[in-house]
Amino acid sequence: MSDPRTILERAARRIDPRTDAFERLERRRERKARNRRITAGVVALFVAIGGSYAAFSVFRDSNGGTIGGQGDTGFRPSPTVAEPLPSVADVSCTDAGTQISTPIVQPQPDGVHIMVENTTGADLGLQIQDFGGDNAPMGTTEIVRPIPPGVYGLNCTTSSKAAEWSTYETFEVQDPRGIWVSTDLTSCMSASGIAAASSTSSTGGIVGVQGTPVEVVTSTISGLLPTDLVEPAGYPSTTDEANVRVVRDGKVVATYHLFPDDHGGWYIDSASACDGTNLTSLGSSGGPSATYPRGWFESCPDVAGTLPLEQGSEQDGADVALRFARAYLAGDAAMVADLADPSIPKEAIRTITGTPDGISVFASGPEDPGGMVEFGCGPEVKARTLAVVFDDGTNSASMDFTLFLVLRSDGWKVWGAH
Amino acid sequence: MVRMNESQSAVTEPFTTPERAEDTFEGFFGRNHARLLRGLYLVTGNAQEAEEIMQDAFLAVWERWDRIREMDDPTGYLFRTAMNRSRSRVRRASRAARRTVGRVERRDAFADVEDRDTVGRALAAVSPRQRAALVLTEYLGYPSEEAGKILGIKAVTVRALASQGRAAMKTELESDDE
Repeated sequence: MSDPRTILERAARRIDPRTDAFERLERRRERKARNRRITAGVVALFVAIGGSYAAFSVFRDSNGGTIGGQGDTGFRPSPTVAEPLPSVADVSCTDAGTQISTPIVQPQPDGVHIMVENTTGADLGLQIQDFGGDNAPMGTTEIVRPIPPGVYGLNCTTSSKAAEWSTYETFEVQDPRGIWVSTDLTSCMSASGIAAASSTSSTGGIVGVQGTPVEVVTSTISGLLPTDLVEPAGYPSTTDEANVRVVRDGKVVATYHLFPDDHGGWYIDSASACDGTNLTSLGSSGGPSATYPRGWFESCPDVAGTLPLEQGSEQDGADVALRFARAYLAGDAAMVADLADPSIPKEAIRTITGTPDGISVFASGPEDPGGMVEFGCGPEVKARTLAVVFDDGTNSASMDFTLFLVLRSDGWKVWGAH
Repeated sequence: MVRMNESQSAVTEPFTTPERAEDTFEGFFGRNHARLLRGLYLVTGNAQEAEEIMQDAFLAVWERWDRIREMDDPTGYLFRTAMNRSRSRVRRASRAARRTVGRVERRDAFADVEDRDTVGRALAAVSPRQRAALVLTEYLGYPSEEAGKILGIKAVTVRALASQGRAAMKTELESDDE
């Protein structure tokens, strides 16, 4: 019985399809439709109540406290029947390009849900302008990203089409239920980044601190006052990143962005605080600083001798990044040395995972994912940096990585990895 | 159109009827649901999860049936959608587990089989990725190129994974014979 097919057939016989399978599917479809209607109804009700109250307040304030003011004209605010917002964005990647059938969506507690229908016959990436990207393989895929409320460009892209920045379709995230808790500082005359605190394990992975994100921030930040409120921010149910903010006297004075480590803990990836708050990361050199490198990067490239990014040249950069990553994974030290930027130490790049044949590029462009390049190495480096996002070939998005390159007179050079 | 191996006829409920543009969704469901369910069961090792993913995939196809029925290979689209959802569930489950209880290894039913269950132990010896490659190529009869498209990996990787899976099964079965 060593034939795999025989084994698989025997195992498959353990499960019998239900005779009422289609009826069960119909009931599931009806439940889904009903839940959508209920959600839409609740949202519409809230919006209508809010709209009516706002209209009432405006007219009362502008007319001495009475509706209609002097000589009531008989106007009464009528409830607004708002179009319910969908809670899942429907995006189609077709040969004709990117189509968004839901230009306005509302988030769910774990972020914005995007249902991508890819009918092109090729695996694609989904690029969200100024935010980052994700895989959009053939078929239908649901992507969940912690996108704050706002207007964004969105594009189905292959690495060869990543240069077509102008083909972004616009969609908007509106948050009528107030799920998103802002991560913006609200009261700063000026603000600075804070060096992220973390340690590195013997295997090169980052080791964070055990506890919830709020506990991690509370235990690793110095300068907190007894009256400070440390609370979760962003979306409440995200699992692969977290935001925490510090509220002082009712104003947000510091925000922290965290990632889970591989040991059940969290580490602070980046942070910013209003100047003068004295909120510093434990272990950092002390307070807000403009000294680079910081955050994720241990080394930054020397911008002297780098060339400006030119639209259309990033395909060459993506090719170099792919050659570099494959050489790195194959242990080809000579090739790695040739393609690495000479201004950084050779041990600066180590966050590359996968196999030489398994990895692939799914997006490249000048976007700065999470603002990490600007925070870590400053705006000059950011302006000269091309980011190339890789799929490491596994099912784990957390193992995907990004290479950062600058263009010099002798070609693209890799200077960092994340 | 999905090409099937000659030996596919030995597989339970083989899919041999070509899709037609005038097909109803119910007909499409009737021809494919048992095969998809069993394939997902072999990949996930969990009957309940397999049924959940199967229903999710069919619902996604149903909502877009007018367009999908016109495709060259609606069945391939269905299987890709199901595999995408299977991967998404694994990713979400591992993230959630990591957040709540630290690093937790994902287990499937095949990992919990009793020692006397030779079939179960043979499958438990194969990693989920290898198992997916084996299921698509050996059980469902997809060529490695098609299986690669469904899994989002290269055909050569599918062949490598299937080969590794066969070797792992063989080793497990040989140790059973000793």
